[in-house]
Amino acid sequence: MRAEDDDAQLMLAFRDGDAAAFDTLFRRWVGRVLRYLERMLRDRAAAEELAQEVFVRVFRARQGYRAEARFSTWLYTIATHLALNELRRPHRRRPHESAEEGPALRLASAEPPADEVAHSRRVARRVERALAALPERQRSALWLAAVEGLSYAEVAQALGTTEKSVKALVHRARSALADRVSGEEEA
Amino acid sequence: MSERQLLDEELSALLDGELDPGPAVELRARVARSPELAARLDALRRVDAALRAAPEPAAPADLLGRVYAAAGAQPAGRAAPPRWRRWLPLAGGALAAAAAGLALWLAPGEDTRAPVTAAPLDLSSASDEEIAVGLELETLEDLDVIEYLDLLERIDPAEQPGRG
Repeated sequence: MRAEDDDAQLMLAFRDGDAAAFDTLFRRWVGRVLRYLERMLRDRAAAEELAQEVFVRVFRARQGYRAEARFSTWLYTIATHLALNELRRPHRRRPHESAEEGPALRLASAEPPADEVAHSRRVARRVERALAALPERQRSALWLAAVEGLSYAEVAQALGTTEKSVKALVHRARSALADRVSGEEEA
Repeated sequence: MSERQLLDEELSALLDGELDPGPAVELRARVARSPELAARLDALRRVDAALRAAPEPAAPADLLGRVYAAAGAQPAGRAAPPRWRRWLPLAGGALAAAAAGLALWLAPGEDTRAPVTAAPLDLSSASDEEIAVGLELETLEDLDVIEYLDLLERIDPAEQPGRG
């Protein structure tokens, strides 16, 4: 059985009263949801608050769960809606952490130096910085397609748009990041 | 959209596995013939690799608990107690009444023997079986009787079964 099918089975089990199934889903997905929300919000504390809300919504929506889409698509649709709403709040607090020194990069910087590792780290830093500067829908589309492995149809569902639009969003985002990294390497 | 942008969009879709088989084969062949296209595809691929290298952050230890609290639910493994356990306070009252009645029945007026008193049953630590024995119940299911007795106490005596 594929992992995705397993997730759907766990959600169905949770719907039918198996509370431990929810804990399993939470532990399996919370890290990835947090990572996505951190990239979207650029604020660790806000990402944690929103991750909590994502799983609260999963919890509350269990009775209506029908496994018509992959569990991950459903989960990221919830997370994306919450993130985009949060970003549109007029008095949203400013991020605590800059894109250059996000949590992932701080973890990476603790590793021993080596030329190749150091180069990869520099590239990752540039990509992270450029990602943070992208429009939010481009950022979301690229992350969901390139990192989380959602199809364009699934990303379209999460963003409430068309596959054609997703193709354009992902292309613009990926090209912008590649140009930025290449430009900095040449400079 | 310029030809370069169109080509970039196709390369991007190729990386995501979103091109139909025919166009995908055609584009791969084109990339193989063009060092410039190959370099561009590599640059796009490096973006993905950099993004995927980001580790998953550890969630705060209390986040799951916060989810349950916000959802107004009990964490898994802390399920609500069995239904009959909810009647333990009432069972305590019934047990005390039964013990008092037993004491009266066992204590004739002229008897000077020291009263025989059983050690009080600590309901918070007593096992199910101990409670059942204390209440002289044949099965744990009989604890439902307590619920019924309590209801009888709450309604008008005139309306109680057998008193109409």
